[in-house]
Amino acid sequence: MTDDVERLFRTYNAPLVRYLTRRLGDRDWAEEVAQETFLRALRQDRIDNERAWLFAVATNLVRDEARKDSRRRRHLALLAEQERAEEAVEPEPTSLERAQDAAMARRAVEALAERDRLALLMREEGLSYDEIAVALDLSPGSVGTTLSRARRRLVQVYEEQQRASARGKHAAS
Amino acid sequence: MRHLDEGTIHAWLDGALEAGEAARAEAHVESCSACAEAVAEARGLIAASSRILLALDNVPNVGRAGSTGRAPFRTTWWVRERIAAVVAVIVAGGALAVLMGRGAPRESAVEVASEPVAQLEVAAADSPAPPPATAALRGESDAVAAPISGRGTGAGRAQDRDLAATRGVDTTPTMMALEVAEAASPPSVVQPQRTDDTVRSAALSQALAYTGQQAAREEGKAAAADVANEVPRRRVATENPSRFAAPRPSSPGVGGVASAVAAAAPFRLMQEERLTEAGQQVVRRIYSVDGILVTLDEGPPMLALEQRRPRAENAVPSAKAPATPPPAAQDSAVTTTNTIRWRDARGAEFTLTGPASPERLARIRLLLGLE
Repeated sequence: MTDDVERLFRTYNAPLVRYLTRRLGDRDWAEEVAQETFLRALRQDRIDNERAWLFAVATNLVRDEARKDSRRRRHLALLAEQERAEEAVEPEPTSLERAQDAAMARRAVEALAERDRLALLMREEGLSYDEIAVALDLSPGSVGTTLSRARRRLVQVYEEQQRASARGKHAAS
Repeated sequence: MRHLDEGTIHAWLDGALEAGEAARAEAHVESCSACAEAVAEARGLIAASSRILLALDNVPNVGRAGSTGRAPFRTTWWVRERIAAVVAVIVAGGALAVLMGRGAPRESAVEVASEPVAQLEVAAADSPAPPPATAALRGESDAVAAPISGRGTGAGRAQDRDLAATRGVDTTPTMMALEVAEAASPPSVVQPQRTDDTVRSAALSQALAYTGQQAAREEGKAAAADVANEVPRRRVATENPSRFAAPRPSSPGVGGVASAVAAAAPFRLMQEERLTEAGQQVVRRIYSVDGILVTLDEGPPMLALEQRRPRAENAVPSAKAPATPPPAAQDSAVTTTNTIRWRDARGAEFTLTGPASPERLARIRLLLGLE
């Protein structure tokens, strides 16, 4: 596997880090997990479905660590995003909006069931239905249902927040 | 045939059904208005989900001590390397902008939303810090020769820079400077690259698209909440056509194009509807092209964007720049649903989504006659 790891890294590090960042809300943490994932690949004799394998291992690493202090971490990530949203000051309306957008997106993602969230984030990184099924131990036939549920809920929660934010502004003015 | 369930619809739209099933689904949808409606809705959900998740990549102040309760920023070799890569990207970006200013193709205006690696950035990340001109040349040739080269962290970072660039003129250099400062490198490394061109090249489509979307969304929000006086300033600005890039004579709207190409059209308009998505008026068209279904969303023409004004010749996207599909090397990438975005001369934002590689989507875009 050693020779292959460099290729694996080049091919999959970017999507993997993005997937993990979206999942964790913290890029440094995401990069650590990604590196650990590639280290494990290094120790592997043979990997059949490499993309599914990498995403599954990364997901498990997150899960293992998250068991320890999930709530605290998630809360901190959320706090950090809110803080950024509040920090952004008047002269940069764009960045304020972007920060708010990110915070709303984060909350919407957090509102999903874990499996739905992971399936959706994997899909966004280009994993096929079969790969998602392998990585998450789902039946291939249920991936479509999982994704449709995730997408509907994500958009719903996000739009609810948008409406609430619009009402807030209305009330404030 | 029974109605399609939602999971099947999503699987179909994601290109995950087998050929036979897909054909059955398509046939059913053509004859069943309820399912056609469900398909349109699913399309919207897929596109909206991708947009929402894109916002999650906006994680600024990476590594800032204490920002998320993580350990303080450690300046390790790979961090320095990433910073070198960032600098290289800036250099390449600046030089590229110069080239673009001379009328080179502007296909960077095609934003590839979901495939892993942005080719130019990756190529640039490979070259530590070349002088501007060679950086651009390398950037271009490397992009052709080796689309997936480059150090992964650098590539990921480069994408960050991309995203950071969408934050607009002011924040980007600040963030760059911050990062470089954190590595104890002199900020002057970055300074010379902070030209208008740098900003413009980075901003060219993504930044404009993003802020534009924001403005439109803001407008929509205000309208939805029926707050007449909430954003009057913005409204005026948005509706002032003189601040707007003049439409290219040869730039036809979607409808016109469709009919212009209609004769030999290898595509079919399956459905067209108007809807409001995230407070934004969108015209959604679903085409059957080349055996797949793609969704084309057209936003309202708009633009009161500062970035758009700079110089007349730059404000108008080059007419002779039909997006050349990026190198074919990535065509072999596993097909999934991708989205490309761009703006036409009127500033209307288009997104084209379908179960095809970004390159194929770019070709479909040409096929549909959209510049």
